[in-house]
Amino acid sequence: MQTLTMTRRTFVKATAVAGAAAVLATKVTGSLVNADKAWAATASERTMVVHTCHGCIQECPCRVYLENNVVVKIEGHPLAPTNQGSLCLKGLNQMHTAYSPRRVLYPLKRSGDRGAENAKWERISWDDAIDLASTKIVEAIEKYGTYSFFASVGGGGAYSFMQAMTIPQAFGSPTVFEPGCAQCYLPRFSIANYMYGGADQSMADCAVLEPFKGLAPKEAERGATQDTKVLVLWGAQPSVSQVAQSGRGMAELRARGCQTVVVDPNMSPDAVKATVWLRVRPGSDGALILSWYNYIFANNLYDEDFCKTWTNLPFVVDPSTNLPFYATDVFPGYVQSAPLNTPAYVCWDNKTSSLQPFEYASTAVDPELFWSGTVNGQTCRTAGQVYKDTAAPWTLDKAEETCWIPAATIESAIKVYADADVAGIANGVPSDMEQIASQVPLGLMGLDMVMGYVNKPGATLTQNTPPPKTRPTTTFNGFGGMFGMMYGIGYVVGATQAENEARIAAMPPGMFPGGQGTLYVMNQLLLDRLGMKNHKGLYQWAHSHIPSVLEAIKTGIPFKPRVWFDMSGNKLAVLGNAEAWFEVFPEIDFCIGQYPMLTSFHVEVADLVFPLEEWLESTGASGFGQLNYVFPCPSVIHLGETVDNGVPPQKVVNAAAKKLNDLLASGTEIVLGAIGSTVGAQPSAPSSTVTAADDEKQTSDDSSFYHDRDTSQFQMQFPFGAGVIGGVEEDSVLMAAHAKQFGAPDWDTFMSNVPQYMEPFGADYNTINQFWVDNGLLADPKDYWLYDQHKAIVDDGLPAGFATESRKCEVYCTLLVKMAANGHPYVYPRTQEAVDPSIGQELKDRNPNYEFVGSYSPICQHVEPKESPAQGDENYDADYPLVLTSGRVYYFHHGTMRHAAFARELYPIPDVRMHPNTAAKYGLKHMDFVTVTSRRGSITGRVYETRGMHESVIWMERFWNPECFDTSQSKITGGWRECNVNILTKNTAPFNEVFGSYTNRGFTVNIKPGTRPDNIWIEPKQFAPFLPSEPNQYLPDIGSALEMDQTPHVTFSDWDPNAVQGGGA
Amino acid sequence: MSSDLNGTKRLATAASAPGYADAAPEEHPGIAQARAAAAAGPGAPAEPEPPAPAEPDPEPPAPAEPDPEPPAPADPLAALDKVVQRNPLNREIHFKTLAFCCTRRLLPEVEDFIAACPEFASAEQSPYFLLQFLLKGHGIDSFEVDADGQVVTAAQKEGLSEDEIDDLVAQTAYETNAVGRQYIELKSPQNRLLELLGLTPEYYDTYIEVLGFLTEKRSLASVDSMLRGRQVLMANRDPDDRPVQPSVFIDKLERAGGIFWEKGWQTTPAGRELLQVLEERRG
Repeated sequence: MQTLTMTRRTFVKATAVAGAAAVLATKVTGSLVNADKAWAATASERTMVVHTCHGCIQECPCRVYLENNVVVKIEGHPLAPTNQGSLCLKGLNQMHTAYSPRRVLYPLKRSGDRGAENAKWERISWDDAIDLASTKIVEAIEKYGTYSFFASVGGGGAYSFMQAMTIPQAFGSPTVFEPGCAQCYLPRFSIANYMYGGADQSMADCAVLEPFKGLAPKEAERGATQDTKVLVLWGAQPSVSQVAQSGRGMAELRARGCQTVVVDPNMSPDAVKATVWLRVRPGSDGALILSWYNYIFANNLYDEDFCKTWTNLPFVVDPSTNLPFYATDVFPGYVQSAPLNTPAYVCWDNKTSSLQPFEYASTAVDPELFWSGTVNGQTCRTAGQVYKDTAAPWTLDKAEETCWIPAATIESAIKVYADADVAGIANGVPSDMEQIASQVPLGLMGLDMVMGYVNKPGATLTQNTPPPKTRPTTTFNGFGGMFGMMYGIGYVVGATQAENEARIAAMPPGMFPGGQGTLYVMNQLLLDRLGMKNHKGLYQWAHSHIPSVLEAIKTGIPFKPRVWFDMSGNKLAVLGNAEAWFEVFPEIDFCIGQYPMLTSFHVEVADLVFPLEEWLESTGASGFGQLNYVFPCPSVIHLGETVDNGVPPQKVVNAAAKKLNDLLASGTEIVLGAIGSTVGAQPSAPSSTVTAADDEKQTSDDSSFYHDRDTSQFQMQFPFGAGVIGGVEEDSVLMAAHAKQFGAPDWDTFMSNVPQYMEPFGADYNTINQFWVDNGLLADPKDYWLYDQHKAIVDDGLPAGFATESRKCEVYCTLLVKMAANGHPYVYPRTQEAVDPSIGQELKDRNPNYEFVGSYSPICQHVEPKESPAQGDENYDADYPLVLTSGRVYYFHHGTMRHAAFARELYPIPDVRMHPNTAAKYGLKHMDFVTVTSRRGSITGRVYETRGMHESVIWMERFWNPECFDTSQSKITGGWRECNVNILTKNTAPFNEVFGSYTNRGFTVNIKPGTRPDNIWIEPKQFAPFLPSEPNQYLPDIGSALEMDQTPHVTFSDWDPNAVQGGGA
Repeated sequence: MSSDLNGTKRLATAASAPGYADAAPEEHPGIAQARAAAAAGPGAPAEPEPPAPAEPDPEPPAPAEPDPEPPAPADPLAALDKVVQRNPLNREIHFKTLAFCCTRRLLPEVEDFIAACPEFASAEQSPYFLLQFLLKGHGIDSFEVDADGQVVTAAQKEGLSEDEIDDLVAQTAYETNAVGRQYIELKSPQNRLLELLGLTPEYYDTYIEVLGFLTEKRSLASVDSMLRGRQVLMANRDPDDRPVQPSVFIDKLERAGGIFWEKGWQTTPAGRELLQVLEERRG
């Protein structure tokens, strides 16, 4: 291997030239300072493999170049339709991440005491590691029951989402969480399902694709057009968080004349280049949205035809239930002509000036959107009138006062949006991180619907799906059935109750291993997820409510989660109020981690860490899509004994299941949480036949939590249900599947014929890869970009409509009202308790006209933050006069890459952005250290002065400092207290009513001059220990990753594909 | 932290628990017994009397190993508590080791003692490591001793070569220091049980019943079957207003030192002692 001299700045500035050469340059002490260019004495053969970056969740296709089996260059794939050859720092930093001396390359067992200051590790074999993990899980289950196990995921870097979601289920436990979820994407994803059963408005999560259509020359050549002329980025920062893909796309869009409105408290690059920038006060988005509604309604800017035909705004609402009247409620004996799965409602008919039944697709009436009057003796309004009344107080002037934006600027933004022939909103993550997590997506999707910007070229609410042939439906059984029946059968919205009952009755016996008793247990595990009573939206992803899990660990009530399998990321950097989590670590019996690196979380509490592959080492079984392309992602290097993130959970479940089943076979009873004790399966035992009718078998106080059930019905076998979804027996399974997917007979053939198998247009960029076309890897633009699906006539002779009960866009979201009352449509066929009557009382206290107390609001509302920066507000506290918000930076995704030396050189410590006047007021100036203090704690950042910030707002991104537990430090710390914004964040009530989201942004703080924490690194030279040329931090004997030979992927000799079967109850 | 370890306060609180107020004297008999036992041994408790060494030491004992010791913490009880509580699988072993080492013990004795604890079956560190945690936590002191078990002093080592020192030092002995003694007194199973009984009055009778039920080794399922469906599970619900699971009683009693696991749940001697006190009071 050559030792070259190349400056680090070469790496950063000339990204396509970077690589191991640059990495190696830093091996010599002293070369960290600027040096002259130098060149290798000899050239090596260079090979290229097509791959997909996992630096963030957008997954840009790229090309990876190797010399002597070492990656020397990564570049964006030139034919990728959005990133078009570009790749951001996160992707380029993969070389510093994959070859980092901080890698976990072998299973590590803690040999010292817990705590970063005591952290010592010993390398153990895979067999020992799996045995240890499974033993600890089994011990806990035998001693305390199945609910003692729990899992978590999230934080970036290893996306073990499915595995973490399903491994608790495999052990019969309900507890799983992810720091994102309710704080990131779940609310937007779910609200889209509730409102119209379609794709949501998230650009970062690749739901919004339409704006990027036709930007790439190749796609334009193939017939794709660019139709988005107006785009609203509401709290989205594509140019920062997804630089190469949607950031690049936004630049292309603007260059083609697309107007943009950016709503963001921070002056992001997208804000700078916006047609109108609304610098909203953090947490006041609901008020701003309502001002848009008010303006649009008052000035008749909405699409009246679309609203009357395709939304539920004309429906008359029963004020006693907050639900629209069915036609039969007002007109007894009315018989509708449409199928029963498409109910008729009630409207005020302008033709007859009377209340009339309002059938789907009927032209018999001219429904009025805004009406109030008397129905059945009650004063009632249409859903449109309810919205209009709620929005009416929010004049532009009031919005200016509340949101800190000039009224004229708000008006100009609304005009850009509403005057367009078609426009769309891309809704970013901030609202998920606040109490307004449901209110904002309700409002923003509703705006696009009110404007008729749905399923049209250029809109964001579009679907890349063919027109339906039957009445559209949405199945609510966790991820819309993405995991099959993993979470039970689910209720089908768009089908009648009778059709749902018939569906469950018709389930074939083999649908649930162990019979329908398994379905009962599956649903019980959903019901027993902590914190679900009041935050039923969490059922959409079947997650537990994080603060409730924390409380259960701390108090042991109603059960104690105590053996923890965490599957990615630095939980102490990404969980709100990290100190609260650190305090409960002594309640954890055993903590299993899996990650490519050791993070603060691992050094503080993990007892065992499985080594995971970085993305250059890993193989995605099914490839990754970008618009109408699917690109490959084959493993190109391999180090140590790392594995795909699906391997450890599968192996642990296999081993633990065997031990548990042996216990059952020996006569030991296992306590399955709320169900009770179970016994081992006997071949002759009849399967239980628990059905919906068994709901009667509840306790006398009507609790669904534990049961006077004959537990002998539950013949338990592990793994429960379907086992681990996404579990992988070994990497070879993925590699074989991947090669096959791209048409290669085997892995070696695949890897040695890159142009044939991995390129969409061959080596010459012009020869279309017919295998890709034939197998759905490369869609023709005309087959991919599809519109007006709701207008297609389906098998009942009606227009398809949307996948909601009304078959329309439910701008007034009736599903939320039903959900609050009885949990509909989740956990079918079980019924649930209503939410607490106190839900929404806080809003009622501020607004006497608020009408959804004891329920979920079906429309957008303004919720003043519990910690308000608005002087004069009852929640204002002069001790914390500033409001803090956050957002991503270019260099990192979630908690990742703080080990990457060059990225840290560029961004060694988090900026605290503030207005120069703010800095001056507190005795600070640019680049000073500053102490930021909330009611939870204090941290340090560095002042970054910018006139882009409001004088009462500061901005800071989460951070952690792995250098704090570098062995060179005289005083080791976990590196999560020094600069971590999650020391400041608020994880206590009030939560978002639907999803339980807590407050990561929009809380109040104080600032004062600070000092540099002792053990954080600032100067470039300090990051030398992170360079890939350094020996492995935890196993110095194995040397540096660059010096290691490529190792074959780990194989498991005991793997028998037929040995593990799903169990049941 | 210090208020957490205020044993007087805890006893006072616990003594007011219904059904036990009468039974709990100012000082629990178990504590008195422990005091007596400790006082009778060579390593007497730090309070109310200073610890008496096994043999009179003419000079201060020399440190056993050149292990760099962290500086003494400002709040030694809190620091020791952090070490003891950090890992639930080690917690009870730490309590027992501190109690065992109230009498000065040689390393092999301590290792054998730890290895014989039923909780050691679930621990993931060696007895030596577990002992070192307590040493670093300033709850135990170590001493180099010669072949006769006498402490090797610094004066004895003066002028000797490394080999000669190696020949002189035969073993390492360990003894719980004043902080450790104070800590285990505050955290004795008796005190922990009393505190538990006072925390949730609604659970009091069930705790006692489970302690009695587990005087015979039983599985979790047996306890679960006994408690499932009972009204007591409806008390002290979680914020979702759900009943607690029977396993909660297992968790709490184990944490309080009232029961332990050895291929089944059993009542500890402290738990039995409590039952006996209650029985006597009833009688």
